Amino acid sequence: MLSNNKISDQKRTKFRNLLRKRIGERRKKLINEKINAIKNKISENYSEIKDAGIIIVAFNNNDCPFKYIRTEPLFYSKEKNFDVLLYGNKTILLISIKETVMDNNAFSHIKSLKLYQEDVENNIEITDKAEGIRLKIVEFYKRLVGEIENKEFILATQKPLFAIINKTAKELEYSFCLWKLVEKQNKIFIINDIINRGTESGYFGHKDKVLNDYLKSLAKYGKNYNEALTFMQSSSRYLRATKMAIPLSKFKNGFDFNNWIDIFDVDLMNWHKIEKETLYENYISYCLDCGIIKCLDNKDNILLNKYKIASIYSIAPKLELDIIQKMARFEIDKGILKEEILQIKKQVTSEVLSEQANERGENLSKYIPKPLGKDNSNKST
Amino acid sequence: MEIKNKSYSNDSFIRECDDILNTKSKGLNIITLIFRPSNYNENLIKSFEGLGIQIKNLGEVTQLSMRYLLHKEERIVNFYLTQHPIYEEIYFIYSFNGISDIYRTLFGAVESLSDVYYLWLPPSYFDKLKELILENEGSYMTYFRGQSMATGKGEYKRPMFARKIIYEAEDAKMASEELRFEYGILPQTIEFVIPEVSKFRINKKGYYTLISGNVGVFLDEVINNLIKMVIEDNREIETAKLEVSKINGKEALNLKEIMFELENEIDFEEMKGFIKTMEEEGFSLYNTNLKKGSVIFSTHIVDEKKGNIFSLTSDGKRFTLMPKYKSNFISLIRFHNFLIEKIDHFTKVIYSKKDAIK
Repeated sequence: MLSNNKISDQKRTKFRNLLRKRIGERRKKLINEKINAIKNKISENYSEIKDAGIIIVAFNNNDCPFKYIRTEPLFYSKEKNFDVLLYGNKTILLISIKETVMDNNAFSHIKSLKLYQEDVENNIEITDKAEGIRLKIVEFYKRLVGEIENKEFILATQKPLFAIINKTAKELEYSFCLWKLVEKQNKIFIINDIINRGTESGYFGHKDKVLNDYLKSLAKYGKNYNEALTFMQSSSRYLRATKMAIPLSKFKNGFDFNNWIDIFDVDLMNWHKIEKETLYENYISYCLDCGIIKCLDNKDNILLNKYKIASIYSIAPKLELDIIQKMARFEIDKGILKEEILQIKKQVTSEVLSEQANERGENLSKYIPKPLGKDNSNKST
Repeated sequence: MEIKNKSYSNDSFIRECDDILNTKSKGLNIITLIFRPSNYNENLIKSFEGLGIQIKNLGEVTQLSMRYLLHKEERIVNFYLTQHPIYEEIYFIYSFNGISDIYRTLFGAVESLSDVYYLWLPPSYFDKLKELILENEGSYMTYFRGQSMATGKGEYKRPMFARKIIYEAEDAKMASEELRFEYGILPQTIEFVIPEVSKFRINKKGYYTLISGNVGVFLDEVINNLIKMVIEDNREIETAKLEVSKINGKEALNLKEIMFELENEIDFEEMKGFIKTMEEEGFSLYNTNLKKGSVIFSTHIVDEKKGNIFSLTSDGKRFTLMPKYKSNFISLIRFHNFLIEKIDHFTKVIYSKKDAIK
């Protein structure tokens, strides 16, 4: 009975309306879920950036020889990486930042730090993708900072659980320095703790006296701070799209690559040219796809083109929300919704066909005599 | 009103203003501005030109002409711009047009530029200047216009009411002190008379009206005294920065914050109201983090009027600020102005000890 599987002409409008309604409802639900997921991701990324910023600002002092060099030095090379690199007194400080070091993650965080340290101590060979060359990892760092005589490896976090950390250090037979980052009133404090794998490990923490003294003063007096960073290479596209848009919206006549480099100079400090170009190109492509920016002057080259933030909102929090909604809509429409539309279509077709069949059955039932005393008019089969 | 179209030096321009003041009995308005561009290629004349203001070069003086419609009739307002001979970031704008013409033209232009602001006078300096002027033999206050500023706190009568007052009498000095003590009213504009010498008004926004007297003497004795008082705070605020410089081919961070301190701290319960007041004044917030207990408040602020962005952290008493994304320090001055006017009259700029851990 082929004709029974076809939606009749009378039912076609109903089918279309129902399909549109169901897709609309599903889309709205998926977009709302996505908006929440994006907000959570941004907030998680933002917390990492904030911690990196605390360290950067804490070491911004002319009396301290240790200076901020850059974030994530090996990210572009896709090698094991540290989050912040400081340098001074021929010493590099390689700092891995974690939001928490608790029961559920202490083992993996401490083990990662141990493996990173082993890579550097063993001076493994890596590929510097920016330069397109193979070289020893210490040589890579020397190119970045200059002479290196001493290397320090640090785990930094706002939320350490010391009992677990000490236990894990013993388990992994690994000693290291843990910097506890503390926000108190309008200051930040860094409290340096030596995590020892055992009483006879012979590990006494940082070797540099100046560094130890400076850390003592940071623990005692703290330092005023403000957030210095906006993004890192490892930040999600959501965070970059949102947090970059507010300062970029200042360019009423559009911005280009040079404007972008200029205003994000602290985030891009000591980055290789290709790293900046790659991040910018990814940012622009994604934002164009989502309709967050529009091209004002197309010179067929992302780095030369002029772009403008495309939003009816100019007030920062509203602009931020508008961008999050655009990203959510884009990702739902291009991804999951496309897959789900077929499913929704099948379901609606089946519902309409079933209704159609019921109605036909109901029409026939008019001719079937009803049993006495019973009203079965609404119970068609 | 337009002055003679010729080339002036600063001195000859002042003489010309004196002539007009004495012969035509027109009050001379002088507006003081602070301008230090983020981009060294910018200049104030170009900024005004960018707003469609007509520019005419008159030697050391630049004529700015603006137009507006009043009752369907076009009015032309002329201003004359000069740079301060000592403080390069200070500019004077002179005009013989009335203050209502100036409000309808120049003030909007100044508000819209990201790196220009009035040389605003905090109440404490305004008071000092008042005392200084009243040291002149026989001088007195004849008029003031005032309003209650920071509301809520204080020992005043019914502090919850916002008040405005215009007072005109020869006991204006005493009346202003009484109204301040009893009702928390601070003068916004004061008129002074120095018998046989001059009569003038000063406004806390940094504009002055010389009604009679000698322009050169007025500049030296009144305006320059005030500039000396406020320039130190402004220059300290200006040291706040977040930038990257190159040292031996490597990039290095250059970061310095500025701190403002309130006399009465804001507690957690008051923070929401504080944020609302900020938003009403054209400061919008993002990346905001507010924690209870001992207040930890951190945020990014967009000065929606000027387009500048800065970050702020506070414990409710101290506010540490840093300009971001090459933003001009002018918005930090505007924020300082906001704290004093809307939150706490006695907000201070805390001077940093170089490189000490703070």
